[in-house]
Amino acid sequence: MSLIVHGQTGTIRWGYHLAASFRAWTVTQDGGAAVLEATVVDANAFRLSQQPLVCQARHATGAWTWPIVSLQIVGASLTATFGPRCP
Amino acid sequence: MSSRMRRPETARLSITNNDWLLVKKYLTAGEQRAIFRRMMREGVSGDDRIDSVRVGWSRMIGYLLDWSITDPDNKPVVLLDQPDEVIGAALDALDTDSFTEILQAIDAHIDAMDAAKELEKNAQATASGSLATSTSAA
Repeated sequence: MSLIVHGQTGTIRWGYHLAASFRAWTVTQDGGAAVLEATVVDANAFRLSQQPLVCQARHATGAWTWPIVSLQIVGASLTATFGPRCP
Repeated sequence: MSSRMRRPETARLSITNNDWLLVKKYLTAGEQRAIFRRMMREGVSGDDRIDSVRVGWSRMIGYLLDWSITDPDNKPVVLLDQPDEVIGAALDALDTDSFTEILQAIDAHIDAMDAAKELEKNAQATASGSLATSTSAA
């Protein structure tokens, strides 16, 4: 069964540093790892090159948080693969 | 050899009234420089000088990431991801006792982190000393 969730805004953090912010996000999970697709608003190349990176995708009542396993930014398109969702 | 960069870690400090502060464990060079920059005021002749009343305030802005403080309507005053100007204004809106308490909590945290850093340095020096000894003996 596949899961698809959408949202408006989110961030990628390296520790407390904001590494990137994004909008118009979609997270899809189809059996394997969850994948984020979004439009980049701001990105800091140095911080995005560091580990560990964590994604926070905001929803109506809070935010979902996932560790990022891989990340790719091409132009304004951001794609990230997640590990298991953080509590 | 140890890294000259640290992961950006946080610490949670407890203060009175069950309130808490989320602070940076250590500052980077850039974060330290930003603290110094905020302390400066332009002198009459154009030279920059440290403004003593901004010293603690600037240090607080440099370390604070978030807190549990609420406004008079009990709404959270969110600091996370806010620009320095907003954090500075929130600090200025505190009553004097609370401002002093938060500054003291952050200064105690800085002292504790400095002490931890010294211990790390000593441990590394001891380890590299032992390594040098065992290498030359081999």
